Amino acid sequence: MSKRCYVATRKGLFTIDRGASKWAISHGAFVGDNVTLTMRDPRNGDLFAAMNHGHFGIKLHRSRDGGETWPEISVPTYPAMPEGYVPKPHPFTGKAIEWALKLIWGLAPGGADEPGVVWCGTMPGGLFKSTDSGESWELNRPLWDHPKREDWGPNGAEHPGIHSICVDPKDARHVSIGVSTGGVWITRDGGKSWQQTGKGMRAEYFPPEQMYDPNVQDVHCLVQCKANPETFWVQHHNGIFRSVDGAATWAEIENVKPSVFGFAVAVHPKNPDIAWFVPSTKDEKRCPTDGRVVVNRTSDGGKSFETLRRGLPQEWAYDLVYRHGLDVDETGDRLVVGSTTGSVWISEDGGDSWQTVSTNLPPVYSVRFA
Amino acid sequence: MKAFSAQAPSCLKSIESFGSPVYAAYSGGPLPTVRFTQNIQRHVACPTRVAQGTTLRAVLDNYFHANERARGYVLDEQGKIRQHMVAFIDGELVRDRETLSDPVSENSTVDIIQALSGGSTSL
Repeated sequence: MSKRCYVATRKGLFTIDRGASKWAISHGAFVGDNVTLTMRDPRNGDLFAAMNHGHFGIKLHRSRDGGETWPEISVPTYPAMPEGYVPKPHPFTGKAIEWALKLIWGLAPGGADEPGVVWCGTMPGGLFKSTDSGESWELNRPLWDHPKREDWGPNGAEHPGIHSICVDPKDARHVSIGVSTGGVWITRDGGKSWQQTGKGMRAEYFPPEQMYDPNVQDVHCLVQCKANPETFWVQHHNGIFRSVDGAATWAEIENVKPSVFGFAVAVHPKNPDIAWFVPSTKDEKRCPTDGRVVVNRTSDGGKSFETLRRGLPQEWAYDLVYRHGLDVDETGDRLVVGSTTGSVWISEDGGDSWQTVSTNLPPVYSVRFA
Repeated sequence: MKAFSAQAPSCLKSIESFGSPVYAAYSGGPLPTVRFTQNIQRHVACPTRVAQGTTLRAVLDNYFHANERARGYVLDEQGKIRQHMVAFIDGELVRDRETLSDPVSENSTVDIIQALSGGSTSL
């Protein structure tokens, strides 16, 4: 059962610890700086903090002493374009993708049997792999060179990006990624080849002829059940989807109140039928419905949902929860939610009730249990 | 958006507090001097130094050769000046941000500062 979590915010990385009676912030690192993502490697305890310094670019730091010191390590870098290669302009923007790192958007440890392997998803769409715990990185060329990659579209940001990386706990060669905007991609040979999946996903923001094109699906977050790796959940731009066949086909789950719109999803590590979502009103109104923060939980594979609100603000609350702003611990009992308004809530009973850790942090980008 | 003046802004004065340039293992004639914004020093030490070269590319390559970590704070991986960084040569704003072909003379001073844009990531 986790007793610590890390909260990456626009102005620092904060540690939250479980005390004798409650959770409280115990430490701040990088205070004042923009920490866009954090990840703890459960195999060796390495902590990672991705930064966006604006002027000075994207940086990556790693701590090997529990967050006391944070030496800078190398960031993934894009190679030079091959001679004579002319990148294809995207029809939405008229611009070709620059081969330059714009954001670190996803971090995931490799399998238990491959120490040192860390995956990194980025904007503008490159997937990188390190085999030495982040000392060096290599762009996955089979995915980057896939002709469909150049058709990935921008999302709320200017560039497409890989935000979700799911490594199958039973077979580390099986890696699934979520792309915004570019659907779901899977490798079963450790990244040598990739297949796009997504049959059944629907993009209502496209004309009917393109609505079911797997490459235009705006996957906001993709998660995989640890105990049952064939089950995936997706919070999508216009709905909730579930796959029980290794992401090959997807079923849309409709009529979820108060809304199917949101960014984050977490799945119970032991029970593939239990998943949590943090709904927001809709795309063009990204705040809780009626100013009430709620968490939606299904315990039956999406047939029904409970709207959980005990301990969460129920009036004049406009917190948005980004895709990395929800996490569940290894027991499935403890959940943490961090919002754009700087609120952090933790539940110790699977979401039935919540305690407020802070309402004063900077906007939260990422929460992760230790 | 406010355009940058072709003249070096007054904030460059603070850079002068770094003192005289370092002439490391060099006994020849004058060389261009490279100075950096104070803000970058919080992340990576960039002392004022001389560096050989007749173009901005050559001068910066020589500077970063001895300070490789600083390169990524100023240039992206393709060697372009980062979107929200600017360079001045003797107070004149550098125009060629991609190939860094602007000429530098032996008595020039190159200033690397952050643009007023680009700070919104930590607002």
